[in-house]
Amino acid sequence: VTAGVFLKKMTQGRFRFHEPRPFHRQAQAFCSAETLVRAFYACLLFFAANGMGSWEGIANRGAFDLLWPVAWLGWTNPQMGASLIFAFYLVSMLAAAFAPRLRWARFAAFFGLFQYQALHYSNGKIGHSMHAWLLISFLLIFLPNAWGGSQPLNRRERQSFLQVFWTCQAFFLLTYSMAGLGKVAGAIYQASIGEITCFHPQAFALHAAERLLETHSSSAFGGWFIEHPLAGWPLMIGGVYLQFFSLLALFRPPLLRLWALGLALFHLLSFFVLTINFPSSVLLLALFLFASPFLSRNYSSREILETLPLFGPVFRRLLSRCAAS
Amino acid sequence: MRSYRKLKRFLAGFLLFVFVGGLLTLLVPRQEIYPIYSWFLFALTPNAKTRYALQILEYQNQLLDPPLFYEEAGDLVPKPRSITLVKIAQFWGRAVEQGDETAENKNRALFESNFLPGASRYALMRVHYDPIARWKTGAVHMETVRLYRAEGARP
Repeated sequence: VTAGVFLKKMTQGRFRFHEPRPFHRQAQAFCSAETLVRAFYACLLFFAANGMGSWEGIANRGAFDLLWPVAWLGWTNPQMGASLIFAFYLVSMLAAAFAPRLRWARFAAFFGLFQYQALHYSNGKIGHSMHAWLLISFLLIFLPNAWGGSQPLNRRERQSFLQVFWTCQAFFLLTYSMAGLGKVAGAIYQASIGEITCFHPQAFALHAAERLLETHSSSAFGGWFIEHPLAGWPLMIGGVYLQFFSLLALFRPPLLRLWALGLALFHLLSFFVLTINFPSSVLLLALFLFASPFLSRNYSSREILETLPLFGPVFRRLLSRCAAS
Repeated sequence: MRSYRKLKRFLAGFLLFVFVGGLLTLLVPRQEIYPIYSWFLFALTPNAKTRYALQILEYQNQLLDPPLFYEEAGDLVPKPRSITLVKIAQFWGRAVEQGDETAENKNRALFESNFLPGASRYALMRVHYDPIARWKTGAVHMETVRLYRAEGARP
């Protein structure tokens, strides 16, 4: 039993969303996924072109804290090595955006991004805004080689394509679930030593105050939430709930788009309160989850409510009581 | 069919690796090994506790009276709102407390080269505050951990 089947059995339980015409749907889903993969590489090219203005500053840093993938810069002239990385990064992104169907181009794009991000974050702190893009570009190497050429892919190859795409979605949602798990584990630890946890009414205000103080910045709503801590309480609890059950949403189709929307709103709110901007994650949510190729229809609000983690069974009982009466 | 099964096993293994590997990185000092990370972002709620901060006493022959925290010296320094520097200060403070000279020198070099170019005198401070109380009243308790002087090769 593979991990995927195991996860499906664990998470779907009694929720079954039957697909009446699976082979027809496979062809449709493949077309969507193929377009999304092309869009993914177009976005990576945009990121590369958009970041060119910062290259001089990166290359001319007075000191580096080289991460292991770019440790080789320590044995050469860092400015020259950095220029090599920039050149390879840009050319590889062009190649992958132009011909994403070729595996070597996808591999080059992954390697170029891997090196560039390692250099970018060789400054004492590793940022995480492009980690998901990087690891998804690694997964996409394993798409069938030369798809979209003169020979159409057969059913098995299309299924392989979709399997890789599904894993990209699963990986991306897994990162949110791990963030949720971190908050729950952190809360257990902090409760055990008598500290305020993320479930405390003041938690959101504490995060806002800490962030704004340490960067000496201001945000649109940060000050207000610090003055009115209770207003942030449901947002904090909702954020932890949303993050923790993100991966589960992938196995419950009625929830997927709604969850992605919630996560996008979570990022946007983070900017307006904490000044933390994750535009690349919002883009990835819109690209791979709002437009998920695996959703074949719209779901009713009843289906959404009944499949909510933790609260689904309550809604199911309530709704069936309403129907009976 | 065999290659499809292999692919499925590999993809499942990748997800497992991301999860388990990510959690295991919590055991290393920096809590991540690029690009594997636990994704424990904002896992701990900031309580009233001790952090480290950098306070500038003199910069490019200009004496600051009273001294300013780096993040407050917006008109003087190049990157006053950098979250990277906040992180560097925490690594630096811990290195000093643990007597780790290598890590102290590394973080000092990063700071002086990338964040405070030019001659300066500054202090690594231990600051203790409750975030909400400090936001409302400015209340903060601080003590000097170490004083530094930079000659400043690049003004």
